[in-house]
Amino acid sequence: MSIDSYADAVATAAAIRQGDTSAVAVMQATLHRIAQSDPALNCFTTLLADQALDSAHAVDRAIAAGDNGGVLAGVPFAVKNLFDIEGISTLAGAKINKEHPPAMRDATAVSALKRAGAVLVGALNMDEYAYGFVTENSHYGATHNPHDLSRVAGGSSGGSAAAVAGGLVPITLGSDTNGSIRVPASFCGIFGLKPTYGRLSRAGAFLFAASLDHIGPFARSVRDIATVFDALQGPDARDPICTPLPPDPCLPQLNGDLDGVNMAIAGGHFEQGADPPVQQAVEQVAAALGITKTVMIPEPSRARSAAYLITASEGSNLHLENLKIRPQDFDPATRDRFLAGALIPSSWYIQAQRFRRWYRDRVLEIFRDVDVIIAPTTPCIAPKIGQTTMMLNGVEVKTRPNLGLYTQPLSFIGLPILSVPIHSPRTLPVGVQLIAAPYRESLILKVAATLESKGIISAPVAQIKI
Amino acid sequence: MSEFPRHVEQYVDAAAHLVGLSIAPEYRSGVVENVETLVAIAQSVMEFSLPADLEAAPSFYPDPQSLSQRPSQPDSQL
Repeated sequence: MSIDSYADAVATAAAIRQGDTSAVAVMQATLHRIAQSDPALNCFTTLLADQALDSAHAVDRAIAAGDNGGVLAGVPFAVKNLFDIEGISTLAGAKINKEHPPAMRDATAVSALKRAGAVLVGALNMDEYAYGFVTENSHYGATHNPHDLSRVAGGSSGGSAAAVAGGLVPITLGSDTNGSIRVPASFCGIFGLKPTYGRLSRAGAFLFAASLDHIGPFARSVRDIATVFDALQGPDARDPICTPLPPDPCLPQLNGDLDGVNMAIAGGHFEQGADPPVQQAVEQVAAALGITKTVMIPEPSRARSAAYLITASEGSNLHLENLKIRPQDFDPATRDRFLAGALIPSSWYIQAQRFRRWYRDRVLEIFRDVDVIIAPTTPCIAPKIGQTTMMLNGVEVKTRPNLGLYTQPLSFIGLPILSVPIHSPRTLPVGVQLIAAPYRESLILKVAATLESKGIISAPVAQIKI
Repeated sequence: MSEFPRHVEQYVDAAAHLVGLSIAPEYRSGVVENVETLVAIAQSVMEFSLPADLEAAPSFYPDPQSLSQRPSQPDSQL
């Protein structure tokens, strides 16, 4: 017996545990799909086919011996190539990192998913050192959007998003500093969760800007997001900002009703600049949830600026030695930005961090009266690969920095956010951000589950037109 | 004639020297352009008045172990 090739992770694991199929059969089908589609998508930078099959065999043996196999038994997964994978060099999208010795151990998140029974298939393409919103990498190539191969998959976790959207694997991991999970989730039409800052351990993930870095999952169903997120939660002394709070399992809370949940649409900045498909997506979600009120988040544009300064300062400091001795080995798309960031006066950086505390306190005041806020994820559908400018509010602007228009002001203060996909006929998918107060991931997932049950949001596998 | 304000170019050259960065001629205009962008971005942040007693967001704990012994204060690390 077999299962649907595009079954989600929860269904796949259940089928394997029940004996309807085997982990090996699922992995063979996965590797076949990757062989068929990845040449056109360019998601994978490393494929661990032999290891994956060996691990799948181990899952099948364990289940045959009476073991449960884990909540993600036999589910294939892949990770952005900034996560340490034991035995291979952690590229982080860079040519320079190819020279690094192989990682001695898996990143905490990779280990956690393996403990849950999932089987690692490989590592995925990204913008160099996570400094981008498009995944157009001069060393490893661009990752193509499965819905339209001439368009970007988004970034910097483009490989992670495209691999799920293209049906190669059901779950992947990415990272988000200013939008690098949410932007590709929007462009690829799938779910992407950026949890509360510090909720998930980043240990073993190559950092970009430590003040703002998060890790999180991509998937094609709300229950998959919840299952993976639950498996990843837990304290980790190896990550200095990982919360000591105990895990808050979200899967058991998915199907609760939304009675008494106060919701609002983010107004002002978040209502300006969006193309019609994006506006319509927000309206659809608002209507489905019965949201009629708007809240004004103060100073979002200034928050974006502050996030920009912190990102540039911290990112550049991290790479300063290589910028000194081998700038020519950086991606041209990141090099000049890193060089410039190394020159930022400290007063700018410190002021940005002080503003961050002010802004965090004002936004938390809003969450005293509102439980969930919705906002668009990206201002547009996925741009064309190589597209340098776009129209925003009737003005021609540079494409890349403006893709984080709506994501940056929110990740700046570490709020938990799920980007949910809206697919409409005759256009490409876009995302809507569901935003809550810190540590309320269970609430935004419950809202998403309601939207999913109503058919408002979904993540069908893309029909890849080669 | 340079397309950039003179003071930005001078700053880039001087600051790069101070931090030990040697910016190759072929990268210089791109770096200056990016610093120009940062100047505009920073203006937005620097012009916003903040209370004098408002500290920077990140907190330092001499004993990180003490964090796990506190009652839950979700935003204590910011």
